[in-house]
Amino acid sequence: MYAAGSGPVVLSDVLLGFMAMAAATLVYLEIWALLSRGYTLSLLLALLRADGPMSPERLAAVYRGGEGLGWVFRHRLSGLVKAGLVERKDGTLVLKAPAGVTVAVAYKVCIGFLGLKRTG
Amino acid sequence: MFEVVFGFAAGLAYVCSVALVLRRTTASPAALAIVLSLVDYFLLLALVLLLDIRAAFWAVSIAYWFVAVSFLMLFGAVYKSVSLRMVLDLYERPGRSAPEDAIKAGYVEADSFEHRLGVMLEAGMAEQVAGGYSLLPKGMRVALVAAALQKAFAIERSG
Repeated sequence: MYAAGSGPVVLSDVLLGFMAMAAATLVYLEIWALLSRGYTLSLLLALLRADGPMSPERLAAVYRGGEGLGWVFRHRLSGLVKAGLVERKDGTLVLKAPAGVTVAVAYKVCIGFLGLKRTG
Repeated sequence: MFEVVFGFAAGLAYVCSVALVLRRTTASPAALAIVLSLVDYFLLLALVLLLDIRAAFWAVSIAYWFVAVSFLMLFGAVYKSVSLRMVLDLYERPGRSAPEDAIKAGYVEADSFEHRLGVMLEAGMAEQVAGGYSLLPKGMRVALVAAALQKAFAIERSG
């Protein structure tokens, strides 16, 4: 192996620059997403701030500073609606085609490829 | 350009190795994906040295880690995303639709919540006691680090 030397910028230099920046950004985003959207993490923080042991019902109620588990549903659903993947019709959720169906199929293919036994 | 293609190909080999190993083990998929990214990287370096392949170290490393980190981001979404699971749940229902309450009660408040409680117990971060759930020292450490990081990132709450 040898260290990269100086010389005129070529396509591979541009590609590598992009890859380095993209990888660093993805690492940052991954940490940020875990801290801001972590479901399990939020349960741990609720237990940390509790005076003593908490029942599942109490944990569900104090989740995310007292907003409760319903917040997760509302938050994720609003994201899906804004992204045009799901539509709300009189209390019913409908998966939109082609965007929602495409994402669902791609998701199913990924689960199958990775052989994941459980997700979500 | 050889290094970019070589590192990229090694990254794709890592993705395939995760898919293969996940089918043959019951270990935590997330931990496995992370550990394998490091194992495969060192195997790549060993291969380069053993076969005396002339390749720039940083270029190969950047290309490999770009693929690996991108995959880990995607893997995290596939493995843990509540939103994607809701989409799949709807896709598999007749008419690709369901009452809001059914998704909320059946998946978010029951299935997913119980799964997270199980994860905390399995990881040794919490325990079940008479009054419910209580943090173990490991869970306490994780929660304290998370709370400190949230403060540093100016994130008030998570979920």
